[in-house]
Amino acid sequence: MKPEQCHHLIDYFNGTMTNEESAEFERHLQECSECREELAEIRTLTEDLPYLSDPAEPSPGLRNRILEAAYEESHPVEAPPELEAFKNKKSLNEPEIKKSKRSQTLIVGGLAAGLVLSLAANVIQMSDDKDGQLVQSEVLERKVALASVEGNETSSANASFLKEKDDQFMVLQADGLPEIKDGELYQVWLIQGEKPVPAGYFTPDEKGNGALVYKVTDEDLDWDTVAITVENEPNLSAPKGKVVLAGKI
Amino acid sequence: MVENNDAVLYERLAAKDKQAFETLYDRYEKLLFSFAFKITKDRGLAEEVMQDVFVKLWNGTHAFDSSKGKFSSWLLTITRNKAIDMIRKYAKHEHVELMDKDSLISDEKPVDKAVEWKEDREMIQSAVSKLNTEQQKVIDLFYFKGFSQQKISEKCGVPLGTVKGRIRLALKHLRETLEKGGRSDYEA
Ligand SMILES: [Zn+2]
Repeated sequence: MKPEQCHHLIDYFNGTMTNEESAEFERHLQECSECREELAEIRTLTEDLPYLSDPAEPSPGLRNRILEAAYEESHPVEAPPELEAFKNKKSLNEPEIKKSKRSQTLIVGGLAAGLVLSLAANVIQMSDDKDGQLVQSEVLERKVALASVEGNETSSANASFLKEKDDQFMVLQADGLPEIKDGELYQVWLIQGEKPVPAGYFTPDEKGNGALVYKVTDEDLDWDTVAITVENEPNLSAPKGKVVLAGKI
Repeated sequence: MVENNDAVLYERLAAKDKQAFETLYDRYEKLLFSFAFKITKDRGLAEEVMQDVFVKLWNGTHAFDSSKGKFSSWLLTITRNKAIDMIRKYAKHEHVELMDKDSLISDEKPVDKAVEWKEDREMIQSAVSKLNTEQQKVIDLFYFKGFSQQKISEKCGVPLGTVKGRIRLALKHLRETLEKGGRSDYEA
């Protein structure tokens, strides 16, 4: 008898399963060479089928509409000089970023402090436990230490990347942050290459401590930096204010 | 040649070169539109598919990895996925099935004789026409309609467990016929 999962290849190829089922099948694929081969075979064998299509003429305005829509969605980024200095890279020739609507902050520090703290506590527990006793279904993938860009040693932060089922979360905890003015906030960024994506914001308590949990929706992106800036408004598409803390992932 | 060129253009696109993006757009507009139209049977939906595919291509949501195969195959795959997604949504909202009358090969004569994939199309059409009706049907339900295994089983009146076998067999026959059909450069 073949494993039950082997029967789901067609539905996997056609995307008729739920995300969870697909993820389960993908785990199966790692173990089942037969399914891997069949999937590759179906991909190859269907490769030419699109060419069966009868030529149809798109409407004349389509090209312009699409190009406009595409260019509209990207905005140039002006990264603050501090970030540049930190990253030690000069090539910002064609800075473009993605809109952040794909990303969403689950909980903003202060508003749901209870949950943030309990998650954060888990992180600490996990990372302090050398035996690697992980808390239930959350798996700590990696931990990034953020350091002050200006050499201020009293402030620091940690960003932990957790995997829970199919979701990835970043739990960020900052301590001893410099005071900010009324109306200012600390904005967190995940950065890949030249592209910063806003990963939530928080205002610290009177001791300069703050935390947030951010659901990472673009797990595939190869993030290289976590940074915290001071901003006047939340969720800008690119940092305007100065970078206070940053860490390489 | 063209494929290498695609990969180079894609690299430039990824670096936000509008000219490269527009060259790729022009190169694939007609094929993708025709393919999306074949799946959706609706110009409006096909155009929405196009917009989604190209906007995501430009802004990097769809990122091509050249180590995983040809650019054109990848682009066609994301187009298919989006088009099938659209008809599923549409069918859900409108309570209609968009595609009852169609078959794998349409009777209509294409308007544009000079279209780039004319030769491929004729070759594949001829190979498809050599498959038996059940095999044509299963390929259509599976590939162009994106039906679930359950639904294919119902539509074809075969047990659930044999659907995958049917599909593979039909696709293999198609490939054999194509290879016999004198297309020695088929793998190229
Ligand atoms: Zn299997």
